[in-house]
Amino acid sequence: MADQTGQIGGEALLVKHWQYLFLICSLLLLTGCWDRIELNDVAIVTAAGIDRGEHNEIELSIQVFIPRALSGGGAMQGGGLQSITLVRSAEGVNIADAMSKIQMKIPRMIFWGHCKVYLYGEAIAKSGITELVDYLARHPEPRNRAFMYVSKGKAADVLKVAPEIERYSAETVRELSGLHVGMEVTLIDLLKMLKGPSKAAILPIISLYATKGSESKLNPYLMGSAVFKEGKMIGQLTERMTRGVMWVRNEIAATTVTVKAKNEKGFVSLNPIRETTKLTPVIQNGKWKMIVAIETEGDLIQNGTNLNLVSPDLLHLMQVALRKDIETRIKRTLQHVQHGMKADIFGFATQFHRKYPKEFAAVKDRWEEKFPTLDIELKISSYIRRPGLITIPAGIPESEVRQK
Amino acid sequence: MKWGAILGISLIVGLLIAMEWNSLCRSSWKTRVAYAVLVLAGWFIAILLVHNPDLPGMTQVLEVIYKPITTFLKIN
Amino acid sequence: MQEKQYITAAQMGMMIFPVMVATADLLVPATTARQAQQDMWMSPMVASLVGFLTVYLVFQLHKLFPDESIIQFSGKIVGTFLGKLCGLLILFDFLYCNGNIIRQYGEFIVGSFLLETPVLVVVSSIVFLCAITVRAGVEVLARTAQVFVPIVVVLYAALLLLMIPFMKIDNLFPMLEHGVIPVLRGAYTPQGWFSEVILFSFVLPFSANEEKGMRTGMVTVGMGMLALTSINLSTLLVLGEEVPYMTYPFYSAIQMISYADFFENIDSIVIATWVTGAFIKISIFYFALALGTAQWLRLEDYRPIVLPLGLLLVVFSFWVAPNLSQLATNIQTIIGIQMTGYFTLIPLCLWIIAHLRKKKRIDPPKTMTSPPAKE
Repeated sequence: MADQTGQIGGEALLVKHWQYLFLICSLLLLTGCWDRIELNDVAIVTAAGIDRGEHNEIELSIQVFIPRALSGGGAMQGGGLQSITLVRSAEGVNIADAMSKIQMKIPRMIFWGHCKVYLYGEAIAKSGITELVDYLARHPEPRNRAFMYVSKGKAADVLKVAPEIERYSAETVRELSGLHVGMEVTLIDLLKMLKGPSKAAILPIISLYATKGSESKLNPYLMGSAVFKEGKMIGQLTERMTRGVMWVRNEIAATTVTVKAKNEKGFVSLNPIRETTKLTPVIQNGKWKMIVAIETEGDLIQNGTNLNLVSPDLLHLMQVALRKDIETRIKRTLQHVQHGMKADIFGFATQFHRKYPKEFAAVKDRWEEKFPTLDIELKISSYIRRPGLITIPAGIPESEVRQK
Repeated sequence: MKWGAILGISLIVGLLIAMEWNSLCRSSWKTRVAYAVLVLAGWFIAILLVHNPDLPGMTQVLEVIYKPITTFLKIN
Repeated sequence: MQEKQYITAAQMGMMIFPVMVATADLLVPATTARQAQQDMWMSPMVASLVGFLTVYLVFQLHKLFPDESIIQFSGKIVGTFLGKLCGLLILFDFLYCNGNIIRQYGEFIVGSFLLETPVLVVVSSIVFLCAITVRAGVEVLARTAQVFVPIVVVLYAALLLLMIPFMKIDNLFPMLEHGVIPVLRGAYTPQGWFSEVILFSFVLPFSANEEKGMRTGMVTVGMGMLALTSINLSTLLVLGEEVPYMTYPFYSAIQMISYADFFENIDSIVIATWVTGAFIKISIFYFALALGTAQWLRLEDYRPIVLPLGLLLVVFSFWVAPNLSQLATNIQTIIGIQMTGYFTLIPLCLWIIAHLRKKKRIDPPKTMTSPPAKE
């Protein structure tokens, strides 16, 4: 009968128990000897900001979570909420260097595993971010799903803010992204954009606003987006333009659109707007064309006109208005991005590469010149599905409502 | 000469021998010789590696043998 | 040898399945992607042909020499000296390959997870564990595999399903952009992993039901092919063009899994599953090495030499490469082809020679009485 180590079992009590003892001792190793770290020896980073420091160095600021403020919640004295995060900064040649200098200021081991928000300061975004992302991609701790932003002004200022609803500014920023009111770009998306054939990238911009009345209280909000070419920020897009980009990129999740029909007074609002965008590249007779087919639908939430939109003809009128509005929006964005900035942030290059690999390979290096010459055809179909809980416009006497 | 490492390796080798002592005593001389050869080989190469981590070995031999195929297929 | 132990055909299959798959999802997908880019998912299908061939050879040889492993019967086919030489080459390659496998295991654990732990500790602990398992006998090994492998497979399948929402079908295109050649080049490395099914030769003498043998082997290779194809496919669909630039693409793809903001960062579960698979693989190789060495030296029992072989394995795991970059380059260039060279070519030559010899033995009597029958 095969034994474990050649010893004959059952010889003495000690021998028998020796094996169980060994088993129990090996349990202690489950924590890992060299890599064990107690939770209160870890500094959990919730957000990181990268700015341009003096002498062309990098200033790294990290927002660190302080757990003790949570547990001591019952014993708050005086007014004012104690901040549960703190911000530390240091300068270095690159992120790794700066991080080691910050570690000297924090008594706990810096842990990137929970950092979901990375902000690039406006200045450093303009000088180039390609080197900065290398640390985030290479080091095992930063997560690939973390969100990337550009901040208006210095990134460190956004980290220092103590917002009103969420517990710390990183969470505010992250939740704003999750609502899809602006762009949502993760680290892996950014890496793909920077390395991809279009060589252009787009990141949302975070800015701070002061609520009227309490000018000192600043809150972060999404303010449009930043366009990058070859890793350097070359321009900004307003919120409206960003929305136009999101339409083409198939990223509009739930938002509100307000339209005005031609020759009618008053605005109509629709929400939630769902949409699917299909990009079809076409090369015909040497002419490169991209067909952007958008299908969108929404429900009415506000009717400021005097039309009864339950009537099919009038509804059709509104659908046409919706379609025209989206079309104008996208056209304006395309004008600005395609012809003005000449940056392919829509991923058209990838689409052409997938469908026409040989033709694309020929122009791959000159995509910046080719992109503005693309003919973009918009095919939008829009539907208004439901009128909400009331039919005719509220507040107007029925006699004034147009029925047809 | 990294005496610390040599001592450590020798200790481990000694431990291995001690663990197998009983069954080695009971088995044929062939087994004992095989055991000794393997253990000594391990001990020797371990000490060499401690002093020279870049010790040339099987990998280099294989690189030479398969160089024609690798360059032909341009794998790299 | 000690008294006969028996394992079932199913246990055999479950032992050899992780051998093919366990480490082929670490560094190999990146290697395949560098050659085949978005067609990387087709490469395992091409690579598995080597596996099917090797399985066929192993089982045919087993039919000629039941109850013997390749080390034992190689002498009977090509003579004592050449037979011993074949045996030595195969055994030495077991040692070298296992060293590579253990090193990949160690580098992955230390590089991604236990950053400060010395590699020596990680490597020694797994070798020690496998030594105990191998010493306990082939039945124990088979039963361990029978217990753990289904769990590992189920967890892997669950992971693949969880990755589905993060997959983008567009990443498959353009398909066959540069033709079939990149797919074949991508198969250059994984085919070595498939040739590891030569390990069947060491396990077959213990198997109880002989008739199901070949079918089990083919099914095992088929399952291995399915597993690797789905792993490559899911990695490609989740990560897209980034795959060639990552060190451990499958692991990075799994990190993408995130549901409802809290079910995320499930790395620990993945690593626990993966370590189990790697443990089985290293143990089987180790077992073949120990058993083969004992057979080569005509020892009566392989168990005493398990521990010194363990020491040699640890030593070899450090010897194969000085750092991870060199290890990755090795895998890309020589590892795949050298495995096939030893594990498929040698059985192929042996089989051809055995067949020719068999024909020579049959033919002479027939010429005396009747014209030679054409086979």
